[in-house]
Amino acid sequence: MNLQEALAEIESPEFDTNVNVVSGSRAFFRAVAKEPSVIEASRLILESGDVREVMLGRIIELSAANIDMSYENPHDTPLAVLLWLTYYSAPELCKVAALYAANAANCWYATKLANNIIAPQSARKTRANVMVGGDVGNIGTSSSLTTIIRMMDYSKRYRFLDRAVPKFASTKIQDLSFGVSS
Amino acid sequence: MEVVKANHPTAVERSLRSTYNCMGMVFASRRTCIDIEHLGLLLSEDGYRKLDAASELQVGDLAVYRVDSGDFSHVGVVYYLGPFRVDGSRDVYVMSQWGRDGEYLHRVDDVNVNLGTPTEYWTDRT
Repeated sequence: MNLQEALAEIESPEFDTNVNVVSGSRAFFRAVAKEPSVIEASRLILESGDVREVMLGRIIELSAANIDMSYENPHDTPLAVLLWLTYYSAPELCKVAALYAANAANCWYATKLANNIIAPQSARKTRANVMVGGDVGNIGTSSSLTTIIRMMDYSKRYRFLDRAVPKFASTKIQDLSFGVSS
Repeated sequence: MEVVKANHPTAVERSLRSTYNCMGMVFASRRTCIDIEHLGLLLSEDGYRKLDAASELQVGDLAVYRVDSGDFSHVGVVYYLGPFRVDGSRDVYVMSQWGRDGEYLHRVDDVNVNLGTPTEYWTDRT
């Protein structure tokens, strides 16, 4: 699988369907890390600076793509995956990539990851964007749900990054790189 | 939906909305997403108990899924129980939201590999 094939697969509806069945950021990136196209892309990105620039270019293109604002951004998954790969392989490009990704509308995983890369401290003090379809006060089916939402400030929401990202950075990508030193 | 149905023959779609996830479907009236990491807290604080035997299972109970690491990965509501077979087993069908991919009626074990495997059932019955 070459880079173009890996990127095409990462941007495919099948990939999106497969990794978006999960319900949480840690689970999402765990699912992403298992995908053969991501494993291949991680190997390629560690091998070549050109690949890193291609990935940055693709992040910029996807961030600027026109979307139907009535729906979630169809590029959320590839943006999150490419940003995630850039995070490990090209720290010098990572913040630039994150600035573009953060401006992509109607994203979820890409926005969360981008905001944390740009400003982890300030992001953690901001109230979480946990509500999608309504007012917190109108949800009454779970007695502990209100407690959870109250405590879901970014320190809670981004705990997955505190734990997962350094772990992925130190182990997963190296595991995925098949001995290619970064 | 075509991708899901091609890989999961028992899955019947109920909705393709993506404004809630499996946790939001079960605990929040389909109105929001809640991270699956909070499932343990919700089960304990809302008075759920783990069923000791599958024979206790009733419609309305929760099917809980875990990944190999033991972490919670998915939750759904039991909506149909088949008759017991001679060996004591029976078909269990659940209704669950597959992340952003929509809400499906499906056999309990016919799910995407990223959703883990059904490991236990919980109930809020006293």
